[in-house]
Formats: sequence, C-alpha cells, structure tokens
Amino acid sequence: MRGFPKNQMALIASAICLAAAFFALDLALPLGVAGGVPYVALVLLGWWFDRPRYLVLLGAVATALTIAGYYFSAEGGIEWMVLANRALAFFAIWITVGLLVKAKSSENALRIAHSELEQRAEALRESEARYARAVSGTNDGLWDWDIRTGENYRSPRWEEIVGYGPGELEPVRQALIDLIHPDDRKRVLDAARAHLDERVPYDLEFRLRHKSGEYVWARSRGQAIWDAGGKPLRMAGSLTDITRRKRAEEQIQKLNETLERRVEERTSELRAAQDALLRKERLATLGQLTGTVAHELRNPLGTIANAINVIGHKCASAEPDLEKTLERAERSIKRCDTIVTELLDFARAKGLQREPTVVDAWLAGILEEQHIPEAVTVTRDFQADAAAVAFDRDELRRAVINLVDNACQAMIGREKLGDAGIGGELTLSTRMNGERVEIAVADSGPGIPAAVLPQVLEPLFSTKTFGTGLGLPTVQQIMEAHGGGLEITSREHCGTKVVLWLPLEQLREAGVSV
Amino acid sequence: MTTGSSGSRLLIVDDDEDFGDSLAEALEMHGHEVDTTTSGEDGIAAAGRTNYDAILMDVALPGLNGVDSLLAILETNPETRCFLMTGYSADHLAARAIEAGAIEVLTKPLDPDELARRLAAIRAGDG
Repeated sequence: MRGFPKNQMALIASAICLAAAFFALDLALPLGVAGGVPYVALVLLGWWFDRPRYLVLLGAVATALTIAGYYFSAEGGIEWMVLANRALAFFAIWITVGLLVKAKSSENALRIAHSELEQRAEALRESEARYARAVSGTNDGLWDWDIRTGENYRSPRWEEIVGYGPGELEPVRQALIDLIHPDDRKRVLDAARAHLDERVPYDLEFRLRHKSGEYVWARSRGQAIWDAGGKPLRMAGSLTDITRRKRAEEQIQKLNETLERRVEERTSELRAAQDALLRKERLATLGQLTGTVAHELRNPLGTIANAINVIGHKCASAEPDLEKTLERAERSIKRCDTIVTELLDFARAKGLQREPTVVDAWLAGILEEQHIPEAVTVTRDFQADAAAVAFDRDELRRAVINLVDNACQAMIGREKLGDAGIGGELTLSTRMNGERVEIAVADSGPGIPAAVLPQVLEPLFSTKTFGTGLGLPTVQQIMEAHGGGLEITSREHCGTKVVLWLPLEQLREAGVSV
Repeated sequence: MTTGSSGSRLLIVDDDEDFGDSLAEALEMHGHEVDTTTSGEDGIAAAGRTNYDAILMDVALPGLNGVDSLLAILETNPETRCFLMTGYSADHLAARAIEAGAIEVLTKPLDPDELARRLAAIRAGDG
C-alpha cells in the first residue's frame, strides 16, 4: 500500500521543487512557448500520490503557475501565440488531470477489490483449515452426493470405515446402496426420500458391508440443499462408525437380560424359602397348639375310659350283652388316645440323647420285642456289620416301630394287628452306603399310588381309616433331627420300601468303639 | 365285688375332679378304698391324717406340683408307695421323679384293671 506519511512528504517536497523550477524556467523564457507544457509534468507527479484529489490540487497549482507565468514572464513574443500557448497548456493540464484521476480511481478500486479478495481468500483458507481440523478430530467420514448427476463423493475416511482404499469404490450412489445391509436398505432409501421430499431430518443408523465381508454399524447424518423450485440439488453429510457402540449396547442388553433373569431366579428362590419358612412356622404353631390340646384331651379320655371300665364291671353279671358295646367304646377311646399320642409326638421338640449304638444288634432287639402278626413273614438282611452310630435310641425306636406298624397294617389290611389276614413279607435290612448307614423297612403290600406318593410326608395326610397321618412326618422329623433323612419308594401293587438313613460323621465324632 | 379288707388304702390327687372320681370308682370295683383330693397341699394334709398304702398323684397341679408334693409326703410317710401320673412320659418333672428314686411314674391313659392288680400286690406285701 502506498502513501505512508514519509513518502507523502518526499512527494510534496518534490512537487514544490519541480513547481519552482518550472516557474523559474517559464519566467526565464521570453516567449513562454514552452512555458505551459512543463507544468503537465507537475501534474504527472500527482500519479504517485495515493488520492486523486492531489492530482486536482496539482492541476490547480499548475494552472495558477501558468497564469502567473503569463504575467511575470519577460516581455516579448507574439501576444496571440503566447495566449494560445498558455491556453493549450491549460488544456493539457486538465486533460492530464482528468485522465490521471480516472486511472487513479480505477487503480484504487482494483487495489481495494484485490485486498478484499485477499481477505476472502485468507478467510477461506482459515475456514478450510478449521474444517479439516474438525473433520480429523471427529474421525467421521464425509460424503457429498450430487443428486442430478448421481455422483457421490466420499472422503478417504469414509472409505476407510468400510475397509476400502482410495479409488476402490466407485464414486456413484449405487456403490453405496450395494454396501448397505439388505435388511436396512429399504429403511435408508425411505429416509433419504423423506428428507428430500419432506425435509425430514436425515439421521439414521444402519449396517454397511465391510470389505472383509462382515458388517459394521454406521450412523449417517446429512443435509440437502434445494433450488428455488424445491428440487433437491445436493446432499452432504457425515458417516460415523458406531460399531463399537452398537456392540456395547448389545452387551448391555444381554447383561440386563442376564441380570433380570438372575433377579427372577433369586426372587423365586427367596419366595420358595419364604414359603418354606412360613410353613415351618405355621407347623410349629400348629404343633404347639396340638400339644396343648392333646394334653387337655388326655384327662377326659381317661375319665371316659375309667367310667366304661366301671360300667363293664357293674354290668358284667346283669347284662352280658353289654360286653361288645363296651368293647367298642374302649377301642374307640384307645384310638383317640393313639391320636393324642401321635399329636404330642409330632408337637414336641425333644432334645436328642445320642448314644453310640451297634445298628444291627439294636434293630434285631427291636424286632424281638415288637409284636408281628403271624400272617407276616419277617426277613432280616443286616449288612451294616458292626457299624455303630450315635443316635437317640428312643426316638429311632419310635421311628422304626412306626414303619413296621405301617408295613404290617398295609399287608394285613386290618386296623387291629394280631388278626390273621392277607399276610405278606416284611423285610428289615441295613447297610452301609457311602457316607450313610441305612435302615430299610420294606413290605409286600399294595404300595402307594404315584399320584399320592408326594403327599405321604405331608403332616395330617392320611389314607388310613383312622389316625392323624402324623406317623411318617414324625419319623422324618426324627431322622432330620439326627442330620439324616427318609426316602420312600413305592409302586402300586408292588409294595413300599422306606429307607431311614443316618450320616456316618456321627461315627467319627463320637469316637465310637463297638 | 370284693370286700374292703383285701384292697389297699389309696389316695388319688388330681385337679381334674371327674378323672379322679372315675379312677377311684374303677379301683373300688376291685375292693380298694379310695380317697380323692384336688391339690398337692390337700394331698399332703390328707396323708398326714391317714396312713395310705399308696398315693396316685397327677404331675400337673395348681400350687405345689405333683413331684414336690409326693416328696413332701415321703418325708413324713416314707413307707407310702408314691406314683406320679403324667400324660406325657417325656415330662421333665417326671424325669425328676425318676431321679428321686422313690417315685414311680405311670403314664396316662391308665388301665384301671392293670393298676388295681398292681396296687393289690402292695397290700399283699409284694410291692
């Protein structure tokens, strides 16, 4: 840019010198013929000034000097020639001024336009640089679709996302469509159409086929421009590789499902445990209640029994027919009492008194004492050798006798043991089975139907014509109190086998000797 | 009906009056002479007045329980046969009685005929 003050000063100084020189020359020449023309040179000097106005100023100065020269020049010369000369000089000066002013203005305008252009170019470079930075920062691919020609520009990063190198993909729209997953194709095309026709924002996720054959997930966003008539001209946007995000989403989903499933499982486990606990509590309360009730029933039953006894004695001679009647009454009272006993047994929680006992010998002893109906044959199969386990003898005795009674009843088919009936085979066996000692009571009775089998261990379940059905549950209680258990196998018409087992740790704990 | 002389002199202590009376009646059928009271304290008092051959006492009594009552009676009447009646053999009081040694435990329900024979044996000196 021209026109620093320093230059300006130099120019002004030169102008003054030149003007003075020309004027002096003008005065020196008598004719003044050449007097006017040098002043044009002064005007020419104005070209180097930055403003057109200086040209006008110089023109005015030159004009003034021309006129002054006429008056101050030496005498001589032809008047009309001198005047004509001055007039011509006048003419030349102002033509020059005019031309130079015009040229100067154009030059200035050009200069301004040029600098503006430079600024714009600079801004553009800056913008491009910023853009390039942004693009490299986002790691997105770029695309630019010329809708009229079908040409589709894709940035190297775009192509990299689908695993292609530069030039491997044709820059046409169809190449893109071929890469879209078949299931997603319609959706993508519909979305593009919706954007172009209805200006619905274009932003969707779909799968593209990577060069390797696998599919990657991508998010494409774009914007179209329309001409004045609403016809779409171009559309451009970005492509983001979201495969990782999608995989993470899938994982989260799976984890969620797993978590939900686990929560459900845990909840139903908890619920089951809760139910079991509630049942136990209820049974415990029931047990306490039955204990109290049973106790209270004992005395009145006793009174009735005594009264019947007395009646029997008193009427023995007078009314012999009463015998059967009274027997029936007595039997019923005994039944009631058995039930009371069962209830009390079930209800109580007795501490166990464990004594190391040789199982086989002990069991043999029980069989000896127990009354077995004649119709029942007993088979002994004792294979526990000299194994001794610490258990509460009274409790186990009750358990075994309960099973033996059940077995005999099943086979005899009558309430009152001792009568001859159908008969059958009772097998008592013992054996060591891994970590357990097992005592089994098997009968050849009618067995328990499969539908009924799960219920036999339910308290108060009973298919006998009398009884509370507390026998088996009580036996199970006893076994479980010892840390053991009870197993029933039965098939209809084939008999029933109940196995009582005790854990053998007792053996080691008790430090047993035979 | 047998005469009173071949039977024993018995005392029944039970807070259930009906039970006590019914048992007494049943035992009387066998010729025993039976008194009844309904509390441990009354039982001790009665034993103080009469020298019973045997006393049948219920374990659960209002006031002083059966075991302690019998033990008290045994101090003044060591010859008396003491029986503790209980509805449940697992009773802890019954266990105490057994430990004490001098008391026999009878589990309800009692068979009156069986009991009568047993008590007759006492009188006869076989106790």
